[in-house]
Amino acid sequence: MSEYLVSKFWEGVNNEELKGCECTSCGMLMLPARIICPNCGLRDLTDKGYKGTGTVKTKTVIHVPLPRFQEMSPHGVGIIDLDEGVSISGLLLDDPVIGQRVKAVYLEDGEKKLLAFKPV
Amino acid sequence: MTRFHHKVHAEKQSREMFTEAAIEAAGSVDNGFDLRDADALYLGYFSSDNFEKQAHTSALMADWIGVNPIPTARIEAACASSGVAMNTGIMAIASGLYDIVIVGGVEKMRTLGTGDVTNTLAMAADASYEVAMGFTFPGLYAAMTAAHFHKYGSKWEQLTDIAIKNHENGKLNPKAQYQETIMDIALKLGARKGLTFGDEMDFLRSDLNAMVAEPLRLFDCCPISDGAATVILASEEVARKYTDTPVWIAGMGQASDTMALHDRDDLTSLKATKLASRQAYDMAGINAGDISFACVHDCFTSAEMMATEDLGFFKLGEGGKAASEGRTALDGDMPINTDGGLKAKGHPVGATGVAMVVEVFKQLRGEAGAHQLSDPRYGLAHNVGAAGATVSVQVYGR
Repeated sequence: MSEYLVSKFWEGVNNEELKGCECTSCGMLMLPARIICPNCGLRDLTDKGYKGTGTVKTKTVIHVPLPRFQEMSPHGVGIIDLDEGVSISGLLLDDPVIGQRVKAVYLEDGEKKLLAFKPV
Repeated sequence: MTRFHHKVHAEKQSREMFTEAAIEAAGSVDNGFDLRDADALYLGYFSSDNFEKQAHTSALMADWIGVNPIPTARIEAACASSGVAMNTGIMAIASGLYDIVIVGGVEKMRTLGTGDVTNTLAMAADASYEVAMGFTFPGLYAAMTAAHFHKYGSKWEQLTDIAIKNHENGKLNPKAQYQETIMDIALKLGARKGLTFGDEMDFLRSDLNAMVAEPLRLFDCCPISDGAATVILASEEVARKYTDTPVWIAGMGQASDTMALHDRDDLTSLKATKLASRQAYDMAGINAGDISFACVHDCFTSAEMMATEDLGFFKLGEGGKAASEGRTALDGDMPINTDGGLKAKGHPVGATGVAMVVEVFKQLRGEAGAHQLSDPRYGLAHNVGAAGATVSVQVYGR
């Protein structure tokens, strides 16, 4: 169970990888990983990596940011439907519109990297 | 309830505001009420720990209103804290364990500056997978709004009609934070800046209505507020001892949803609102069309638009159009947020769910004053935690 930790997901981002899991019972995809499958309730989960390509499901541009994002504000952020069939939040670069194709990029931000998506 | 405001309670802590609200609630009972007649107290308070560096606040409030040794509990469900406290109080009485329960909500927010308040509100979203990605709390609602615009063609101009309407209602409510129309505010701010505005839209399109998270601007967002609200629940057996005109709880419902928006299929609707309201309608034996008016959770103008759809008052995608047509105004066929809503009345987070109940109670008893509706039959209160991971609904009747 210890492999499914929040910290593991962010370690993955630091290594420029999107790491989640897949339920071997029902096929449910999860990103980030979980301990219990929210679809079937079982715990037969196995690691799964995601390519980081997909389309913008929705987006906004934030003009009143949290302190950590002050320097890049106004900044885009949105929800991406990844090609494998799972969705995730992330920063948006170069102002893509809803429905536009994007790919994951990893931004340097001190010691930890940030997950972002930009148009392909 | 106290007035909701960003300044008038500056010198008070939550304990003083809550006590003020409890004294008023007890004093409003027709045949008199001693707070010590209560069997339990449930308190909604979202973030006393951050705002006041004070935990254990339900015991503190019980101590301050002099009702020890009754049992108490604080309920934290973000902005739905006191809506869930209401449901908890209702269940406690329905269980048969208690006859009288005090339910209250309070939030003291103005201890912190706007930046730290923004940080605290963001704690109601998924800190690890949404806030860490760059989302703010308004940003999450902005993303839902953009999805709604994209799917249904709804427009920002429709949202401004919701803000204008809620300020018109707030002007008639002596407990509201903003008892002024948006035009009143435009003239006031304009005079200060040497600007003139022909009408509300002229002002709302100006730089004075700053962008917060596209497409949501400052006047799409509820304000930061201090305040408290309290109600007294009684079992059917004892209610008649206290009043000849009780307001009855006809139904209640509650549901949860994923914390992160990105784990939901549909971003244009809150599934928990649909589920909670259907539970409440079923328990009351009515449907959405039987509701005379509603207090819905308009933390953002677009949240009111979506709520009026999810509660079944209008078809999906048509909430904005209905607002623009005046259907949700005091003289419309489905009045929404008759007290000014979170937008104009204010939103001291933990107090909001019970403040809605105060408004519904007054409307159903014909005591709402300048914003009284004509002979309402059923009123609904809809309280949302953060971006919809918690929703509570109650239906009240006469």
